Amino acid sequence: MRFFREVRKYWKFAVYAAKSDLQEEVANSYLNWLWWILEPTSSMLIFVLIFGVVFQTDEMYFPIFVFIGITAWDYFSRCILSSVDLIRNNQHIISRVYIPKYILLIQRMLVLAFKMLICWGIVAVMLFVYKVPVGINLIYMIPNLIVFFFFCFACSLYFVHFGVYVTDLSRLIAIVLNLMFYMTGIFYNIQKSFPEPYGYLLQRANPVAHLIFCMRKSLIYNEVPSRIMLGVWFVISILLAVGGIRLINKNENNYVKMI
Amino acid sequence: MKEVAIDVRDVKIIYKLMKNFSIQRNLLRRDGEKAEEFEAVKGMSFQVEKGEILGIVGRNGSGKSTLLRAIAGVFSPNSGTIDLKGNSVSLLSLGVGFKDTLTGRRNIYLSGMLLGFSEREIREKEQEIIDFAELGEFIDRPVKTYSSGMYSKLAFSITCNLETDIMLVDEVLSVGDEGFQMKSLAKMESLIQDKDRTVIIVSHSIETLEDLCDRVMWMNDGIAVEIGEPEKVLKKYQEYMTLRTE
Repeated sequence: MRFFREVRKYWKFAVYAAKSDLQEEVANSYLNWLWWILEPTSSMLIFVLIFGVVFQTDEMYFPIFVFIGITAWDYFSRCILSSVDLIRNNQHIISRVYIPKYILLIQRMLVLAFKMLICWGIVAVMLFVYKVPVGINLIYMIPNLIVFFFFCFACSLYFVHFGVYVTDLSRLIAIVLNLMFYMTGIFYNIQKSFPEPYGYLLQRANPVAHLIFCMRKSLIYNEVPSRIMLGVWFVISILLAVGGIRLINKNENNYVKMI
Repeated sequence: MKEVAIDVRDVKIIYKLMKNFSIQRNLLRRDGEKAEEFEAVKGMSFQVEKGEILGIVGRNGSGKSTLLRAIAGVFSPNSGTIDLKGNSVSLLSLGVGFKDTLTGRRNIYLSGMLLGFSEREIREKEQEIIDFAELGEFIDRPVKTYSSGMYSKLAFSITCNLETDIMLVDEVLSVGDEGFQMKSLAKMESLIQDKDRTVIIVSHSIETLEDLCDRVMWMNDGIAVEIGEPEKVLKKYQEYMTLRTE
C-alpha cells in the first residue's frame, strides 16, 4: 500500500526534521526546553487552585487528574491546530520537492509526542510523590495511547486537507476546540457532573473525553478501562484515517497549485 | 535508438484559479466566485534520451517551469503520463527546507533528505559539500549567522553535490562572490555535461542554451511549437520574439 511504502521511505526524514524542529524551538527561546514543562504545569496549577482550592472538588488525586487531562488535551488540540495550516506553513518545501503531505503531519505529531512524553514523565513523578497505588492496569496505557495517536492522526488528516481550501479555518477550529475543551472533562469528572444517562453518554460519545477517562482509570484508579470502547474507537480511528489518507492522496496534486 | 530516460506523453496540467474559500467571506456573501481553470500545459508529448541535454525556451507564462515541476514530481499532471524509467530526479533548487537557527551541517542533512537522499548517501558527500561551500568552521554555526553569500554557497553546494540521474534546471545558477560564481558555473557545466546524466534546462539565455544543449524545445502557451537542433529552433524563437516586440 502506498501509504506504508511512503512512510517507510520518509520515516527517517520525519524523525530528523522533528528533532530539528525541537532544536529550533530550544534555540529560539530564552527558557529553552523548560517551557515544555512550565506550560502544562502552570495550567495544572491554575486548575488545581481554582477547582481544587476555591471550589473544593472531591476528586481523588486532583492535581494528577488534571495533569493527565491537560497532557492528552494539549496533544490533541495542538495536532488539530497545527494541521490546519500545515500545507501553507510548508509552502517553501512542497512547491519545490515532492513529499507526501501526511509525512509533514507525522513530523509535527512526533514533535508534539516528544513534548507529551515529558509531561507523562511529570505524571510518573506525581504518581510517586502522591503515593498513588499504581497497579498492573497501568499496562492499559499502551493500547490507550495507540488508539489516541491513531485518532489524533485521523482527525488531523481532514484538517490538513480542508485547511488548504478554507483560509480562516484555524479561527473556527480554535472556537470549536475551546468549546470541546470544556466538554471533555479536563478539570472535572464528566460522569459525575451531568445527570445520568447524559454523563455516561457524553463520556463515551466524545472520543477524547473517553480516552482521557481510560487513561485516568488505568493510571490513578488501577482499573481496567472498557476494552470494548477502546476497540470501537480504534476501529473508527482506522476507518477515519483510511478515508483521510485517500482524501489527501486524491487531492494533494492540487495543493501546490492552490497555495 | 538510444535508451529513453524521460517519456512525456500527452501531458496536460491545469491550474484552478480559485480564490481560497473563506468562511467569513462566504457568510457575508461578499463574493461567490467559482473556480476558473487555466491550462498551463496543453497535451505535450516528447522523449529525452539518456545523457541528452534538452533546453526549453519560451516567453514568460508559456508553461516551462510548470512542466519542469511536473517532471520533478512536485505535482502530477491532470492527464497524460510522465515516465522517468526508474531514474532519480531532482529539480535544482537552493536551500530547500533550510532552518535558519540550525547549523549548516544539520541543514545539509535536512535539505538532502528532502531531496530524496538517504542519511548514508549524505554522510558520504558531507565533506565534499562543506569543502565546496568554503565555509570552514562556520559549518557548525547557525545558518542565521551566515552572510547571504555564505548562505547561497552552502545551498548551492548541497544541490550540486547530491547528484541524481536526471537533473532539472530552472535557469543556470551561479551564486556568491565573483570567484565562487565562476566556480559554481563551472560545477554546473560539469554536472550538465556529464554523459550519464540527462538534463533539462529552462532558460531565457540563448547563449546558454546554444552552448549546452543537444536539442531545444520552444514552448508557447502550453504547447511545444518546435523541438530540434538548438540553432534552428532558437533562430525561429528569436524571430518570433522580435516580431512580437515590433
